[in-house]
Amino acid sequence: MENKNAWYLIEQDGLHRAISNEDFSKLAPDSYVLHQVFATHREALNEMSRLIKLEIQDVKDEVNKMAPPKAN
Amino acid sequence: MATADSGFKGVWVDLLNPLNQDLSINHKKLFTHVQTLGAKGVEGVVMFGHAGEGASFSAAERLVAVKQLMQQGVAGKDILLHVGFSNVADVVQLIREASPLGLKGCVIVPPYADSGVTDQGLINFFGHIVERTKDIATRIFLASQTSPSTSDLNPRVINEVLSLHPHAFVGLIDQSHNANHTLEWIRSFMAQLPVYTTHDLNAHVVANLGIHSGISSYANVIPHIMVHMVTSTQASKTSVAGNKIGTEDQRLEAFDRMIEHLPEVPALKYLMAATYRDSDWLRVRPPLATLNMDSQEKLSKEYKKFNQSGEAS
Repeated sequence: MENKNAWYLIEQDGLHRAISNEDFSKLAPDSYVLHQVFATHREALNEMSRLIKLEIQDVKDEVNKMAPPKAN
Repeated sequence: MATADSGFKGVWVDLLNPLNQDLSINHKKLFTHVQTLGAKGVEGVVMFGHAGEGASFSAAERLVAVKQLMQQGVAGKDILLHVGFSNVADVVQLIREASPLGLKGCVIVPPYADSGVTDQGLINFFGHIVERTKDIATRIFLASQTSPSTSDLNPRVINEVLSLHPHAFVGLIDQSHNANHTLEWIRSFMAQLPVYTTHDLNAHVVANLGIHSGISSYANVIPHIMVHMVTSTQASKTSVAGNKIGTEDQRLEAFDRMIEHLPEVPALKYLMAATYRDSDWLRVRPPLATLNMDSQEKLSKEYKKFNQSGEAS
């Protein structure tokens, strides 16, 4: 089911990347986590942007949990 | 009539369907999921099986979904389509309409019926389907029901159907969750037709018999593990206490334990939603329902632990 025009959304060294099929095929096994495969570069970038926003929100939520409660 | 080169190898996914708010299929997300599975080693997809909530989709909806996937780039040879209905006319119509698409094959199952089903009735059911599709090029796989019932296939029915229609079928698919049942089919029918299992925990048992192909619903979520289980020739080892030894075996059993007490399709969809971080994947069609909040929270914690143990292994 290989699609040579596909775009791969991966996580590598703590960073998200959207890469082409050609670049993906050059990656060393186990050097990345594959999230999803998209038909176009734009779709892969949109998903990357969405995931980054979610992760920023996760961090905000964690920080807010650690903040002392507001005094009334 | 059946055509040559009909069997399949490797892991074929019993594909989950992402749904829109109106419970129609989200074709774009489905295509993305299929491409992702392909990049993770899956060889093909089975559409509208148990995981694909097949019983909740009409013939027209199934055909549209197949065509949408193919228009986006999935080859027909990588698709198996469930065409099971409880009446001959709908089964025949869908097989005939799918035939020009060049699919890997169509899967038929015994009709679900309350009572009164006899072996002869089942033989007649499949006989009518064969007679009404013998003028077209198609590959038909004969599958058991997913749950035991009085109207399911049994060895006598299979023997009779294969004897009456020796060239009509290209494979048998055991959808039971019973390893002994699968082994009985392999012993009885493997000389005539390839036998496939849809039971994920059977994957290694079957692989150890030299059969490196299977249909997996768990592969939606853990494709790497299922590909390893199906394609590996390494016999699984067992400890003196009877526990499986071997990382992939243990991971598969841990995954199974995580969801075995939950309705399978909503649980798998919850895990897809967690994997892709996309709540659209939670939707199921009635009569199924999404997991309740308690189950979701519990499963979320267990899935995090499962993923962490995988990173550590």
